[in-house]
Amino acid sequence: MISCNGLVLKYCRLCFFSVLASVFSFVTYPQTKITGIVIDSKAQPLAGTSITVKGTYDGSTSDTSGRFSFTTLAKGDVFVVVSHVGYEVYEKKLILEQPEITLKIILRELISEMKAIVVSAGTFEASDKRRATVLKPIDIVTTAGAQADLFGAIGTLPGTQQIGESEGLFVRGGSGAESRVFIDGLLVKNPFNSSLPDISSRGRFSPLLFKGTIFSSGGYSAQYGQGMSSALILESVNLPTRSEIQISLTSIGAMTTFQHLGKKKKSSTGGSLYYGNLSPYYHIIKQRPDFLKAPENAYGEFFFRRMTKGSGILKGYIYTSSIVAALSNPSLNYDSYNDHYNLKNENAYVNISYQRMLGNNWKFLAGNSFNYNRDHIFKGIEGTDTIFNTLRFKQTDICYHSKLMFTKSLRGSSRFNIGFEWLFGDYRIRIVPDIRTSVRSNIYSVFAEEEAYLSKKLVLRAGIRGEFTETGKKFSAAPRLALAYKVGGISQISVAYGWFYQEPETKYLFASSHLQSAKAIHYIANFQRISDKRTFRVELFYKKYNNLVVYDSSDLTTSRSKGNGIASGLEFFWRDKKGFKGIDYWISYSLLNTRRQFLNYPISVQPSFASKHTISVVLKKFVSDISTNFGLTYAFATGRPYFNPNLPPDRFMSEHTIDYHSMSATINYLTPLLKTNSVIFLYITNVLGSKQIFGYHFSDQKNSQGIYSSAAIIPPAKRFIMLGIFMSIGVDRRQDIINN
Amino acid sequence: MRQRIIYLVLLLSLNFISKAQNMNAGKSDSARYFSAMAPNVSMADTATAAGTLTLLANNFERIAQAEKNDWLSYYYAANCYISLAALSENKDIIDDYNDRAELNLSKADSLSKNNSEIYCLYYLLCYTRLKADPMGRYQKYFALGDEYLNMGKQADPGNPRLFLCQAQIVFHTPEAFGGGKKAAKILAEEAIRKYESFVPKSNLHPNWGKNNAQLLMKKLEN
Repeated sequence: MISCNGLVLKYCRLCFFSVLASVFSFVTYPQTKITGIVIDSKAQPLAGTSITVKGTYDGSTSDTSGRFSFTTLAKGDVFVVVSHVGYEVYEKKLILEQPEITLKIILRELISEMKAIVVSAGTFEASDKRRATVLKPIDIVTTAGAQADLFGAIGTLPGTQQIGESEGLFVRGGSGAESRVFIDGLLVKNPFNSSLPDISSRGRFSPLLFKGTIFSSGGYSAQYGQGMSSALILESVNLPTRSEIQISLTSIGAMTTFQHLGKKKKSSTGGSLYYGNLSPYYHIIKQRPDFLKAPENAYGEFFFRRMTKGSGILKGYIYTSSIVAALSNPSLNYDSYNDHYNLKNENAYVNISYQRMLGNNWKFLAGNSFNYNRDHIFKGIEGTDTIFNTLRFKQTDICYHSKLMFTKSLRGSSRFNIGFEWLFGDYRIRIVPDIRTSVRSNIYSVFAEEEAYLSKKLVLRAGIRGEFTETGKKFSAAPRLALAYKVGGISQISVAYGWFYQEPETKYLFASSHLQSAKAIHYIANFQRISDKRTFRVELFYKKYNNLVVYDSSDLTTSRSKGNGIASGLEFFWRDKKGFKGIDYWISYSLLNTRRQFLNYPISVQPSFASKHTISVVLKKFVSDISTNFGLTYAFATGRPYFNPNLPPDRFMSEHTIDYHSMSATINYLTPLLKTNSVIFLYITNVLGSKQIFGYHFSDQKNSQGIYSSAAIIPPAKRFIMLGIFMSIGVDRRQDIINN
Repeated sequence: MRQRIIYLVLLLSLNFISKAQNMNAGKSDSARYFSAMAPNVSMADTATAAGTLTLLANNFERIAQAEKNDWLSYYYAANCYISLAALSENKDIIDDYNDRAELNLSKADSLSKNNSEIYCLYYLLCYTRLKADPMGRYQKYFALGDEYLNMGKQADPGNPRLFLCQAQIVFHTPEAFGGGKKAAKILAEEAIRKYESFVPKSNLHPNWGKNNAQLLMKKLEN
């Protein structure tokens, strides 16, 4: 029995052990131990990294030495996901069949758009997209002297000229026509209101429409063409944060804006209406010219935005405006007569763009802009009850821009762009009664560009743009190159180089069919140091112009592409938010050496729109006790050359106007008036009443003393004053002002 | 005796095997989910060290990616990242945390619509966003924060965390802009009142902040 028992026992034990053995092997077999280490690209251990077997609860977090260890019951093919905040996610396929796997994982640092190094040569960016920018969108709105005019604020940056007698961005020796404005990548042909002679006009668009502004004073991306000197690149707001109504009443006009944000925050629609009339203001504050009709203008805007599938967005913007004005100035050519000028303008701008993801990291963007501008102009010499030498004409400018672009996101923040553009222009003049003439232009472009993050510290942007210009019957290729390299935590150096072509202005295309696109070559080197509170920039540039339009005296039919020029200079920018408590200020300085032979210049000289030295100082302070924001902007420019026909030809453009000084002030008082969030504001330009002369006009004929008589070009009044209130219902716009 | 031990081992092993098989088979096993979440949720309530918060964030994200349809794990992961952003002084890293918090919050939001607790974290996120770039973001996130706060209060007027968070933010806002101790105290009192009557839907649902409300109240009373 015992033996039998012993036998049974033995048998049982055997059974047991075999069962147990199989059980243990069964237990240990599906369980895999995964151990390893996570390091960064500099071989430093990464603590706090999450390691997970995809789709399971199995995983671990690396310790301070970067090591981890865990077991998983998953079998076969699995994915291990390794993630660490601020690093690219790493995924690895594993086949779990052995009991232990050891991994060595190297994570790459994520280069997010927010902190990626960007090309700074020739570029000033005001955007929320990146943390380290020189300006914020809000700076554009709150800069004194800018009167909430986009271009006024841009005018405080280095590279821009202080031009009071006409609108436009005059950048680094380039004329106003050489600067181009783009909204969401699409051209705005007439970004400024039509102006009266010798009076600059404001920009058409409110800065509140845009979330990002890039002002490029040269060397910009291959995506943009037909601007020889400068590009102002505006990015419109996607969706507003909430529905709101804004009302503004000023001493010169009234505006109301409404915008509605869809319930699901996927769409918004809105619009605004403006009516302005300077007549009451001109009655109180006397103007030098006799305004027979003080400028009266109205505009309407409509916009919609809709988020669509594939993180797409469809944006539409429609703008239409009209202005009427008439003035007369004492005539230089006819004693006791006046030069009469009457303007009526109609303008429309439509911008529709759509973008979406296509998969495989491709993004697609299509856009169209349509520009329509018509000026009705009547000119004449006016006596007490006669008017002669009259000229009545109507000029219509239509421009259509179509753009198609594909962007591939590559590793890090690198990307590759390829795109096509078609720019169509139709310009016609009708001189009443029956002279009609017109000119058409077609420009077809293609561009490709890569922005490559070669390392966290180095970005290279290389692109090429090909343009076929129908009027010149010529294909030209424009290379663009830029790079930026971080030399310290907050410092970087950046260089840019590029060729830029621009078709001559339509008024010359009319007159001559032998014109080529003008060409500029830019070389730019920049050093920039940005911390949260302080920014320092210094930039050197050299530009060469070729094929500028020249003609003999005032005969446009002799126009030919034979002009040329150069520009070089040095610019500084300093912004400081901590040196003086509670004060935010910036200083821009531009040194410009430029000469060009163009238009009817007989020799190469400094053009009339170029000052050698320009300085801007912008100062802002918020006094919280009285909820008031104070701003001061001071602008200085050395005198600009002008043509004096009384001098011998070899002294062409040898005389200079007096230096330009302008101090403007702004006061914004924030108040919860009538339960809305309101801002009461006051703007005054030229507070000190400095004498400003922008140039001189000369008579066509010599007078009885044998000289050409002259008249200085000066502003219509010493100062411009605007008092107003801005009310916002639904959103706290006061924060815009407090912000500084 | 030995036999019994062996039996026991065998039994336990078998039990373990079946459990392990279950673990692999039934993904949304509620007991398994509960046992994974519970220790992390209770730790999250008191965690203040960056290391612990990171560990918890990782754990919650791991549960979230396995479950896919559970807003709570995304919610808690977001909460950890917001705390990490609030703790951090490096502005680049603050935004990395913010981005991660937002990613988790948007997933939570898509799984549980119009949820007061999720709005509460969105509200906090506005302020950690602000922290990375006060000058540039003031305008946007002030308005947006207010909106989330209102949406949160509308979705659940009884949520004490909204009042606690608001009290803390108001406490750190200058009086000129409607902040200060006085205004904060009213909100803190309201928060404490709401905590008294607040009952979470389950042991895993958000129930944090009661101690903080009392700590804040002490600060405000002095």
